[in-house]
Amino acid sequence: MARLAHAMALENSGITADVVGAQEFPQLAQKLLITSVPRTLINERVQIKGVVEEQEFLNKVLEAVGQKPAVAL
Amino acid sequence: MQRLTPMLKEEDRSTLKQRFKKELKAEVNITLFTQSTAASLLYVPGREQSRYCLETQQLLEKLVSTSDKLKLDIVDFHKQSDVAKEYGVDKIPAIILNTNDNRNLRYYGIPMGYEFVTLVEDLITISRGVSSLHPNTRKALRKLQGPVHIQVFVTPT
Repeated sequence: MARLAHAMALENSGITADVVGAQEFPQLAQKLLITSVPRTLINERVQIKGVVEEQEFLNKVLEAVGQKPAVAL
Repeated sequence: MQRLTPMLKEEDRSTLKQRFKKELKAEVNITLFTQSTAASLLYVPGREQSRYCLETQQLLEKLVSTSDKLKLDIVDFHKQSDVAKEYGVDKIPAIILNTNDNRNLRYYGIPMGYEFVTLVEDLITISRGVSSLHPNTRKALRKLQGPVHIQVFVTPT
């Protein structure tokens, strides 16, 4: 998930991708209700639990900005 | 919690050296936001950012020593708060991978285990300027409107 997020940020400078160590920042993880990892938050609105494929990740990113899902790869 | 020891073994260094020699093309600049050792020893209630800074710096110094194409800038989060503000860094340790004029690939915390592998792959991808994403994904991302902030929470494995 970390690699996918960073690869996406490389494609569009409007995307900021942070890989956050939940152990290093327990207060932030608690505040954002992170109970398991990997957990991905997009604009603190849409979340992904666990690991997903590139297509699903992309669709979640599109959902977070109110765009329609992309056509299947 | 177990204390992490971010040592890069000699055999790992040697493998990395060879790989970077073969695969790195353009220079990659890494910016680390950290704090002094003295500040790391100071306990400030409510402050989360006091841990792992020293270990992260040691790990990155070892990493960049494996290739002359990797550059490391170290910024003191407290003493150079104007720089931290400019980068939008609000917690440390923070690692920013600079791509052209962008600063949008970040790690917060110490990149250990699987995250270290991700960091190495990121450096190669940035240096070569070739992403592993499917062409359709890249197309959709390039058309994307509005700011997106992705946060991936991980733990070292």
